Amino acid sequence: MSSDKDDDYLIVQRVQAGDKKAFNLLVSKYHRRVGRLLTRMVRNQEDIEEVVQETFIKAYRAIGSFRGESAFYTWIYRIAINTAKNLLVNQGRRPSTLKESNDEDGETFEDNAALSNIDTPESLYQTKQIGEAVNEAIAALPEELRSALVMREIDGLSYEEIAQIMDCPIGTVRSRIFRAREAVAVRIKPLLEPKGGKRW
Amino acid sequence: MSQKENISALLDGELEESDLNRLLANLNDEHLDAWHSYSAVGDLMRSSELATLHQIHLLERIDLALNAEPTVVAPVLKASLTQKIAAKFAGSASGRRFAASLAAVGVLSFALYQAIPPVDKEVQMVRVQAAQSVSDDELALWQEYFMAHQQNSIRGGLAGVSPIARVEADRPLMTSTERVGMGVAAPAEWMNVWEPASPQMNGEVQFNYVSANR
Repeated sequence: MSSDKDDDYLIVQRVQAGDKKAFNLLVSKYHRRVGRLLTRMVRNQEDIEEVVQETFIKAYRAIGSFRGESAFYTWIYRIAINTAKNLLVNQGRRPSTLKESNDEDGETFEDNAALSNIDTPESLYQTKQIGEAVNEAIAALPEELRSALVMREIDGLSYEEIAQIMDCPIGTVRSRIFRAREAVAVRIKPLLEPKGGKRW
Repeated sequence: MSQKENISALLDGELEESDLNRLLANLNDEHLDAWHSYSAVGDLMRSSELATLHQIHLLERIDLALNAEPTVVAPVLKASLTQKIAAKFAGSASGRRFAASLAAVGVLSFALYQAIPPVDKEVQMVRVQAAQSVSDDELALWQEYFMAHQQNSIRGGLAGVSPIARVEADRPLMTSTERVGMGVAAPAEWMNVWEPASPQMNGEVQFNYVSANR
């Protein structure tokens, strides 16, 4: 079984072979986390979006040089940080202190004061609404689906580890996580779609 | 197994490589939609604040910008079979145990190497440098330096082990049947440079004096 890092690299190899669509998988997977990382450096929502976009464009242009020696997300986060620093320098501002060593993997989602700068009453309401919807959707799942999904998404356990804990085959874990995701996605999708159109 | 279930497994890095290649080769909009929604579910479970960063227009902007980019076609360096086996091996428990053992042997070897410098190797290194750019005088200085370094390094080596090894390492390589002759009668200093000449038919080794200047 391949790891997340290996899977990312296989996707990168598709991109390197000329498959642009495969790059969309990486954009979709990491754009929120890159954005989250940038909220610690850039205080303006529009600037964050600009840096996110530029980050992925730069990454695409340089994808030929990516050799899988580091994880893709580590690579993309470095590009994002450098892009943000350049933006701030161009704006005549000093880059704010970033805990790069601790948060380089971008997997830490603790509250941060910098976030308040991009929060508007509308976005705060939306965040609250979506948060409640996600919690309700998860609470409505059958116990075995909920446990499998939480162990995977929150605890970061592998399928093998979850299978051992739940005392079931790995194939069952895989199926439970898929069904749980599908159920939650159906419930929260309307909230994430813009009025009159598809949101993702 | 449905393709959407494969998408879910891919998101977790739990898809077999063969399935992954098949999936990526047949990627369609439905798959992309599932990928977007499943990755959003995970991110929103970890932090609902990420909802503010879940902007479809941003994805569309990036998509448009990417479409304007020339398609990248880079030489793909597929991992060799050896690398793949090594990667799999490193990931297993037995592999990690083996790697730990190898590391321990490596550390011990390095410590011993530091304590007992391999004289022949160092001299050889100097001679390689001499062949490139080092003059005879510099060569003499280097040889003296290495000799002095070798004598000093033993004091910092592994107590109890190095003196015994030192005896073995310092034993002359020549057997008792070999004889050494000098090509120059009166060298000016004690520390000089000698090089072996072509071997003689009778087994004698003739050394020629190279330099005496320091």
